[in-house]
Parts: sequence; structure tokens; C-alpha cells
Amino acid sequence: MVLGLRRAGEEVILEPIEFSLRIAIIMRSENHEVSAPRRGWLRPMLRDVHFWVPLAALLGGALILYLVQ
Amino acid sequence: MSSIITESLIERPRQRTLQLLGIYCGFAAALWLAGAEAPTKLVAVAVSPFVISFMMVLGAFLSRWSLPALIQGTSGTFADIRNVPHLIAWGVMAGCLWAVGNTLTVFAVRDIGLSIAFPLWNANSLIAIIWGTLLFKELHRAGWLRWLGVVGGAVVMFAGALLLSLVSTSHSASEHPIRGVASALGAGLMFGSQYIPFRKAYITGLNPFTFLTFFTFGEMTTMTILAVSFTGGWWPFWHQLTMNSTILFWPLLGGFMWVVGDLFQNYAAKYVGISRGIPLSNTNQLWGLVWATMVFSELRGLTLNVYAQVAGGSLLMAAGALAIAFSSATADEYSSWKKAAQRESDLYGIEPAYVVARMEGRDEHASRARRTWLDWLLIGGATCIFVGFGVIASVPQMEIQWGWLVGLTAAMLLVLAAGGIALWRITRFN
Repeated sequence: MVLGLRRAGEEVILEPIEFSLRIAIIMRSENHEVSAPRRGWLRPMLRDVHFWVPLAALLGGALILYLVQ
Repeated sequence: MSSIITESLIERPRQRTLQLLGIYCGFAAALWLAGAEAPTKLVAVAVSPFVISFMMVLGAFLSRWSLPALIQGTSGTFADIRNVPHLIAWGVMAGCLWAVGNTLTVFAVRDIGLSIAFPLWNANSLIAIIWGTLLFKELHRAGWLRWLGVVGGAVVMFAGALLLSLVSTSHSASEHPIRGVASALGAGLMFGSQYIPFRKAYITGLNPFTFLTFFTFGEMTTMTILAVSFTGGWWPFWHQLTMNSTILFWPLLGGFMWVVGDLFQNYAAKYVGISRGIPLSNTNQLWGLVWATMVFSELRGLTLNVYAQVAGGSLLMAAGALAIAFSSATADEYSSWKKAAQRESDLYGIEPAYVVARMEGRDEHASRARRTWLDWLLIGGATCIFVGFGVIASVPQMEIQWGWLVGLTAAMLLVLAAGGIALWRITRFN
């Protein structure tokens, strides 16, 4: 199934995924509120490996600094 | 909506343009990051490493607020972070990592010299490749040739680092070469791990200027704690600053130069990933070798064998970095990057359209950022501080080859101008 998007008097035919994306971008550029699930970030952060790995590295570096100074 | 990022379309020519831009930024970063380390040579004239590091961080702090204010306005920075407030934590953490790493580099230079320490802490590119692959799906679906280029290049770089560490422990004039090597490698671990927050921020879509603004809080706070703690308290630290007031301008300038190099490095990380962007910027070791040997006359009077080992080790590292750099991301690998970005959008509830637009280096709001009186106050204040320290500055008593210094400075300014123009035209600094 394809969907249509009217632009400047002519009809543009798009695939569904690209249609959804372009609608989202158009609405954002026109300062429309695009609803997206807003949630707290603390719990996701504490479950995120991207948080714990650099934190562990930081503690290791502090230890090295203490030993060499 | 949940699969919009992974199924979004980007024209291949645009993707190639961004990759070329990222590669240029990586090399530009190398030139500026090497120059920023030159003021650490002041350690040789008996200044506390913590004073040097603190002043460098202060210079970076002043620059990281004033440059974004100049380019996009402070209001643009705060508007950007409202989309992804959780990244403030990662920005601060990256700053902490950098401050600890930077302090370790000062100890390394003190113990084993710039020409040896530099390549060792540049092993951070190996760390970056590991984290980029494990945590951000870089090199996934890249094909065996890309894997060979990147992993093979990393192995060659490591061999070069080992060769240099052997040179340092056998020929160093220091009483503590092992300590120097440990400091340099520890710095490499810190710098390599700070790229995790970088990459996380940029696949989410954050502007590098915004990220670095919050980075400064982490680095300034950590550096102040380290400096005060290790010098014995506030008054001893203040005494050290006032006693060396005439040379404080030089590490302050080094901090500014670091920020310029760091910005280029961040753009490289954004547009070619950390597994490629960081090795590219780590060709700064060759520029570091030029600074050390040509400007500061390091390694003078040693045997030809030592020169061959230093040059060989550095060239090995550079060859490895180049092999990595020219293993560009394929369309399949780019799809893997988008999966990593999808993870961030799903985990933190970030608007997919924001992420997609920023991955392509576009932001329809960029042109609306305006500078206010606060921005001009920040720019003016930072400028006055630099000028103030410059007025009381004296040139340290050390051997400097002025011809080479002028030549390197001219090259840096040319690269900055060209890079700035390219970034504005292609991405509007997004």
C-alpha cells in the first residue's frame, strides 16, 4: 500500500515508512508538538552499560593517579 | 514510529560527504591536539604538574563556554539539551575522565618526555575501537575487509606503542620510567573511555558544542579537587599559582588549543564513529614528535638506534591509524549505527525525527539561534582573562626553535579556517 502527500499542487506518492518520517519532520519544523513518550531517565541510566563502563574506568584512573603522584 | 530511525533514508552522496568531512576533522584534530600538549613542556622547568593541568583545564573551560556562545549562542545550547537532558550526566562524566587523563599525561611527560609519552597514551584509539564495536555496533555488518583494516590497524598501532615503551624504559633519563609508562597508559585508558559518552551523545543527535558545554563542568570540578588535594590544600595551591604567575598563560593557551582540537575530534566521532575518528585524531603523535624534536630539541645526543626506534614506533602507529581511517563505513554498517541510535531513542524516549535529522547533520532550528548579552559577556570575559594572563606572561627559559614554532602555528590556523568553513557549509555546525 502506498500513501499520498500533496505538495505544491502535485501529488507525491511515498512508501508508508517514508511517509511517516516526513510527516514527523514536517510537524517538527512547523513547531507542532510531536508526541513521544517522555519518561524519567534515571532508572534507564542505572540499567545502562554505557553508564557503568566509563564510571569503572574513572575509578581505575583515579587509583592510578593516586599511585603515581 | 519505533522503527523510524532504522528504516530512515539518507542519500548515499550525503553519507559520503559527511564521512569525508569526518575524516578531515579527524586529521585537523590531530594537528591541534598535538599543539595543545606543547605547554606541558613547562614541567621541565620545575612547575607542579597539578598547576599545569589546572591551568590547561581552566583555559579549556573558558574556551568551551565562549566558543559555543560565539558559534551558536548560549540559548541554542540550552534549547538543544532540552531534547536529551539525560546526556548532561554523560557530559559531566566525560569531563571527569578527561581531567584525570590530562593530569596523568603531565606526569607521563615529566617522567619519560613528550616524544615517548604521546604515542603511549594514544593507545586510547585501541580502547575506542573496542568500545565502539562492543557498545555502539560500529563495524557490525562491515565486511571482512573493513574488519581487517580496523583490527589490523589497531594491532599495528599497539606494536608501535610497545616499541616506544621499550625505548623509554631503556633510554629514559628519569629515575621512574615505569611510573611514566603507567601514567601514559592510564591516560590512554581515560581518554579511550571518555569516548563512550561522546559516541552516545552523537548517535542520539546532540550538537558537539552542547555536549562540550556540560563536559566543562565535569572537567573543571574534577581538576580543582585534584589540584587542591594533591598540593596540600587551598592555600598551598594558591601559593603555587601566584609563584608561577608569569608562565600560567602558556598552559591556559594550551587549554584553548585543546578545545579546538577536541571540537574537531567530536565532529569526527559524530560523522565517522569513534572506531575510526579517534585513530585519525591520534595521528597527533606524529605532530607531537615534530613539536618535541624540532621545536623543543628532545632526544638530542642519543644514538641513531634510538632515533630509529622512536621513528619506527611512531610510524607503525600512524600506519595503523591510516589503515583504520580508510576502512570507511559501508551502507550496511551505517544501518547498524542506526540500530544503536534506535536503542537510545527507545531507552530514553527521544523523538526519532530529532535523532534522524541530527545523524544527517541537519537542524532546521540552527539558523534561529541568537546571541544575547550573556553570550557577549562570556566571550568578552574569556578574552579579557586570556589577555590578562598574556600581559604578565614571560617565555620560559628553555631551548625553542622559533622557525618551526611559527611554521606549525601557521599550519594550524590554515587547517582551522578550512575546517570551519566546511563544517558551516555542510552541517551548520550540527
